[in-house]
Order: sequence, then C-alpha cells, then structure tokens
Amino acid sequence: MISTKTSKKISKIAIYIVLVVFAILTLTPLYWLLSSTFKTSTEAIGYPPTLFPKNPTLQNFARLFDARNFNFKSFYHSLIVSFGAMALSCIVATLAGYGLSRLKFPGKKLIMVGIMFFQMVPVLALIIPLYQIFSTYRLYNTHIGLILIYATLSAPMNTWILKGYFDTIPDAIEEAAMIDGLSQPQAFFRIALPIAAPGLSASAIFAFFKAWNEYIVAMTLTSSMRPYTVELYRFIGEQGEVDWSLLGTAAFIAIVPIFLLFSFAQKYFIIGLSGGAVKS
Amino acid sequence: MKIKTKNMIQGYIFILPIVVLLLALSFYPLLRTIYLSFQNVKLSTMNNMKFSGLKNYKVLFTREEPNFFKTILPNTIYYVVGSVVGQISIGFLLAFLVNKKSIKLRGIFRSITILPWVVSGIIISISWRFMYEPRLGILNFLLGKLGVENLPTWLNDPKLVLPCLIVANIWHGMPFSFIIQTSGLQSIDEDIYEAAVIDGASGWQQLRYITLPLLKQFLVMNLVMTSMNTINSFDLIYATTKGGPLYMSEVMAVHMYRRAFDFGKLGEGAAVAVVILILNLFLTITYLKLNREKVSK
Repeated sequence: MISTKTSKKISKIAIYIVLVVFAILTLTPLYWLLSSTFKTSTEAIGYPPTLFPKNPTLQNFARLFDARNFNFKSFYHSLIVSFGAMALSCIVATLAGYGLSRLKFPGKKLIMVGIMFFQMVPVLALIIPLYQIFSTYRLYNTHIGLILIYATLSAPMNTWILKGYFDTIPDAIEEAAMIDGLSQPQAFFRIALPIAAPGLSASAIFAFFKAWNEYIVAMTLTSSMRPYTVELYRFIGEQGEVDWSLLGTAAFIAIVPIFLLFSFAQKYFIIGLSGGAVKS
Repeated sequence: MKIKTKNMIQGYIFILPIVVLLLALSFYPLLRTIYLSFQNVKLSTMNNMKFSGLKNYKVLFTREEPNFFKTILPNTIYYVVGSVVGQISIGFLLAFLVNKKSIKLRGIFRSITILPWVVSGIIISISWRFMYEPRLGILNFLLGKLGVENLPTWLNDPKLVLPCLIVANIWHGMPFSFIIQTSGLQSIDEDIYEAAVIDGASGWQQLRYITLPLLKQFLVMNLVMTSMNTINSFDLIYATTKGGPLYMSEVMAVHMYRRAFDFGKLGEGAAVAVVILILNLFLTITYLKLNREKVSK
C-alpha cells in the first residue's frame, strides 16, 4: 500500500517528465534549424549530423549578406510592409473600437456582425480576385498594396481588442474632463487612449506579427519586392542541394526579433494570438 | 436632438475607415470569387472572361487525377481531423498540467509551449523539412543509432507524407489550443475543487465531473476555430511538399492555389475557393452564435 504522500510525489514527478518531454519536442525542430546557423556549410550538410556546432562560426551572416541567390533586401521589404500595416491597422482599429464602444448610431449592430464575419473570411478564398484587382489598380508588387491587405487582415481583431478596453472606461471620466475644459479630441488623447494603451500594444504586436509572418499574399502579389518569407521559399525551391546553413541563418534573422518581442511582451502576444478569446 | 445627430455623424466617421477597407479588400473580392467560379478565365489572359456556367465545378468534381472525392476530400478530412484532435488533446493536457499551482517554473513551460505559434509557416516548413530530411535529418540519424535498417523517407513516402505534415501542423497549431484551454481552466473557481475534495472526489472524478463540463464552451470554441484554421492552412503544406508526392498531401487549400496559379486556371481555382468558403460559412455561423453576447453588448 502506497501512502498518499508518496503517490502524490510520484504523480508530480510524472507531470514534470511529461512537461520536460514536450518542451524538448517543442524546441527540437527550431533548435535543429537554427543551430545550423553557427555551423560551417560542410558541417551542416555532412554526415553524421552534429547536435552542436563543432567550430561555432559567424561566417554565415556574411555569406548570406553576399549571397547571389538570396536577396538580403527582402528583410527590408518585410520591415517596411510590417511597420506600415501595423500603423494603419492600429489607426483604423482605434477609430472603429472607440466608435463602437462610445457612440450610438443606426446600423451599429449590423456593422459589428459584419466586422466579425469578415474577420473569419480566409484570405486564401480572396486571393484570386485580389490578384486581378491588384494588377488592374497597379498595386501589384508595391509596399502599399501589401500594407493595405495586411492591415485589413488584422484590423477586425484589433477592433475587438480595443473596443474591449474602451468599454472599461466609464463615460463619466471623459465627460468630467470635458467639463473641465478639454475638447473631445483632447479628452480622447489624454484620457481614453492612455487607459487603452495595453490594448494598443497588443494590437500593434498582433498586426506587426501577422504581416511579418504572412506568406500566401506576399507570394502571390509580389515579384521583385519579395518579403523575406517568399525569398526563403524561393531559396529552398531553387536549389537541388539545399544550403542548410544559409537557410538556417536567414531563418535565424527572421525569428530572433519576434522571439525577443515575445519574451518581453508575452502577455500582449497572447491577447492577440488567442483570437480575442482571452482577455488580460 | 442636435447632440444626437452629431453623435451619429461622428459614429460613422469613426467607423468609415474599417468599413472601406473591408468592403474593398474583403467583401468585393469575396463576391468576385463567386463570380469568377462561373467564368472561363485564365491567368495569362486574365481580363478575357467568358461565362461558362457550372463547367468549373464539373471539372473540379470529375477530374481523374487528382480526383476530388478519392484524393482531395479524404486528404483534407484526414489532415483536419488529425490536426484538430492532436492539437486540442495535447493543448488541453499541457494546459491542465501547467495550470497546477504546485508545479514550479510554470512561466517557462508556458513560454516554451507557446513559442511555435509565433513562428512563420514558411520557417516551420523549412525546419520540419530539415527534421525529415532522409540523409541529414535528425529523425533518421536517431533511428539509425537505434539500429533501424530500412530508414523511412518521410516526406517522399506517399503513405507517410500526410502523417508527417499533421505532426508538423500539430506542433505549430497546438499553442493556440493551449492558450484557449489555459484561459478556460483559469476561469474555473478554485472553491469548487476544494468543496469536491472535502466531499471525497478523486482527481479523476474532479476532471470528469467538474473541469470538463465547465470547459465545454472553451472546447467548442477551440474546435470551431482550429477546424477553420486547418481547413484554410496553406503555407505549411505548399512550402513543404506542394501537395506531393502523387497528390498524397494535396488538400483543398493547396488544390485551389495550384489550379489557379500553378496551372493558370483562375476560374477552376475560384470554384475550389467557393467550396472552401461554404465550409467556412458553416463554421463561421457557429462561431458567431458562440460570440453572440460580444455583439449584443
């Protein structure tokens, strides 16, 4: 007969084992790719594979920068497009979130259902006409074209996040401020917006992250102004023998900013990534 | 009266930007997808359209290779069911374990679990290709060490390709379920468990009669959203196998893209897109019903 204390201890150890196993499984694929960043190209494609770089090197960064078959400028395109989409999405969503939270007007409910509906429409099902529309209106292969689409993809979600924050601010606070002589825009910027700041951070991160990682729209609607996601795809597709250390380095550059952002602002990430199902 | 009108006009001004964006880049393309599915239109001569009735749908449902009912649909169902079951069950298990107060380092376990969710589909594709790579990959290296002689070729094997992709997709998508289920578990009042312990309920009984029933709405929401995400997921498969080998990983989303852009038949692609949209519509209606209170506020 095992005492309850021992059985509790055993179950606790079992839990740790499960958690550690899953943590290892989670980290392995990324570790495997990213560790090739610090291997020489012969080591990365040599047999047997090495778990740890034998002679850690930084030469791959220089190689990638000079590589003829990898366009390093793709990171620049990604940055422009992601920051642009972030700014546009936040402006649009702040306005909409504030309007839906504060103001009453006919058709409001219909618009809310509409926003929620279009939040659920997959961009995959729109990509064929978008290709036509973009070609017709000369948005094909432009930064602004991608910015418009990415902002449209994240704005509905961000509207809900921000509306949620504006909903928590009692009308009376802004009204009191206006009685004290602030104009309505002043009241908005000095009172409502600071309270909604966490929501705005979450929205900004969500919009940036959505645009930074996007691939299907970018692949379809760009040719020379490829973001890095498409460049990676092209890079791996073009070669018979894949240069894994270069590929790992490119992936490393793409992932590290997101990981840093994630470790500092995990809370805001989760608000956006859970599709609004989780509020802080 | 005057204030009311002013308020109304302001309301529309605030709403205008998002409405314009959604009308131009979601609503109009949505209608146009449906319209294009009834047209004979090619990528090379895009503006030259001809009404062709149901021909695109007929082609979609009667094509020999790959056949919609023998290949595409079973692949899609297999992929979606496998991914959804795997993601929700593992997501729930980990959420349940990490949520226990007695566990140390919960924050670190939580961060590690969520990590794959923030990585781009294209990088997931690359890292799993590297894992599955027959000669250089870590999987065959480990199997070789264990003395396995006929090493599998993973993504190149028509029978293994879809399970391989499901594993990669579970790895990528599970954090979403983990987050939803964690927030579900945290919404349950601790007192209920304390009362149950006093009444002599075992751990298993607590899970079966308290946790699962109270998590029901979170599980349903999770199910709906994960199903949608998986039906519409395209990056991972397209970038990893492009639907091959022998169409054995060609799911609906990949089929749509390949018809439209790799074979240049925009009309046929649009017909597949409409089928995908109909599937989404059912799930969206369920989602809207679950979210009814959000709108009525």
